[in-house]
Amino acid sequence: MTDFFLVISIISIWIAVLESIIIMAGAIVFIHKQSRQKLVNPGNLEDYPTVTVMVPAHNEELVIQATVEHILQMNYPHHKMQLIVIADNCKDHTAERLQALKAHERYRDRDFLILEREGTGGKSGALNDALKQATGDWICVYDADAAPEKNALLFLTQKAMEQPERYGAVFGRNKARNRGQNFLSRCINLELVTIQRVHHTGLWQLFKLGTIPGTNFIVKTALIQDIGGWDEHAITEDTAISFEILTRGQLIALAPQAEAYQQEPEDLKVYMKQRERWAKGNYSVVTDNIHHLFDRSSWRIKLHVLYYAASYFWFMIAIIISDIIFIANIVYQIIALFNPAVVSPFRFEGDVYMYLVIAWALMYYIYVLQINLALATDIGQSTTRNFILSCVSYFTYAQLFLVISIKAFYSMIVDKITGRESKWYKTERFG
Amino acid sequence: MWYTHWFIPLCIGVSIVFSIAIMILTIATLSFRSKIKRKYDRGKFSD
Repeated sequence: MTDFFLVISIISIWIAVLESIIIMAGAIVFIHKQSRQKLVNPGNLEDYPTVTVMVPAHNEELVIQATVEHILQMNYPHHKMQLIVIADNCKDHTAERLQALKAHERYRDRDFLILEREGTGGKSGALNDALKQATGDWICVYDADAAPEKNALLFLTQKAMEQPERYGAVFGRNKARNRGQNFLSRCINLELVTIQRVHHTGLWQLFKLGTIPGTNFIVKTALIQDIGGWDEHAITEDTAISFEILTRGQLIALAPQAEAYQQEPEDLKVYMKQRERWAKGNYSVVTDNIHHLFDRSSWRIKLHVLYYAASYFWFMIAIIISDIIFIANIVYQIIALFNPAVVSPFRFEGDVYMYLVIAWALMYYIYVLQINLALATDIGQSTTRNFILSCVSYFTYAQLFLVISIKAFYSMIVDKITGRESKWYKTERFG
Repeated sequence: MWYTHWFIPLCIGVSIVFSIAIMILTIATLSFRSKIKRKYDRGKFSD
């Protein structure tokens, strides 16, 4: 029986390594192409579509003013941009801060709406209420802690206009603005950079596959209305909406120059809560969409489901099994030093165990390589310190993923059995 | 054992193919990194 688990673990790790090799190869092609392309600043902004920027804010007095100012100062024709900030069930001074900003002379002539609401549905509910007031051809969403760069919206719409019939949504890149704060925020920065600069680019280059992040993206207003708005029961509304867009035959395009800064958790407790919500939301999305693997959906949707299912279920189980085998063997070897009669239950024929170690070593190597490719593409991040951190993070930060996944999986099972409704949890901000 | 006669040659084959692929990716990463360093970084970083 243990041999069976060993073989399954090795094959699963191989598939994870193969997936990483393919995505990384795609990312290198993308990066190479992009480095040869020159940035084109559009001459005539009058041809650009109208956009409604929506910012859901729940008790965000610490960050909301700076965020709104960043958005209002973006390089986009004022008469083509509507801003709706939703003060969602706020018990602090978010609404007052927004009113003060709106009254400011500089922003008096802007199309700037403050929506105070006390409804349910969390972020999705807030976005759905704002959708009723939206006048733009496209909807753009920024989280309340976002700091988009001056041309972020311009680059998003520029990409959308390349193939307006085919692109249902366009997403940009998010960067951690508090990345140097502590060990945790440095590790989150590595993860963010790797996902955005390797996974997103690789998947887009090879398969024209994208996923909407929670912030810094645009989506066609007509499309989101056709979908019926944001799913108020989904914990990760962004992944849920991505599947809806793909099932309607539209693509989610990547605009890599559209960059925005966001705040990442600096505290382990806040981080665990945020990631548990994401993992749980992604489990739900996978289970809700697993049927696409067996119906007549397009290959792109099947690949998308497979990618999520592999990342959140299959590879996780393989890593847990191989970790148990590794740790048990190390413990038994230590015990055998004192008592040679004790034998590990995980003893295998021939050199098979060695190939588990080799598969694991390849996985570790490509993990570090991916991070360092991503760091090389982000000016100023490819430092010795970050290289050491990339080597260390596998044994520390990355292992948290296992704990988070198990906790989220358990919580999802309990929800299903007891019929408990999942709660939307807002990430705590830092001043 | 029931599986070792086919599984070990498979392990050897897969390990060799993956090692070559990863080596190529490493060279591509390092050459890209040095190109970027030459072009933009000039020894300064913002971290």
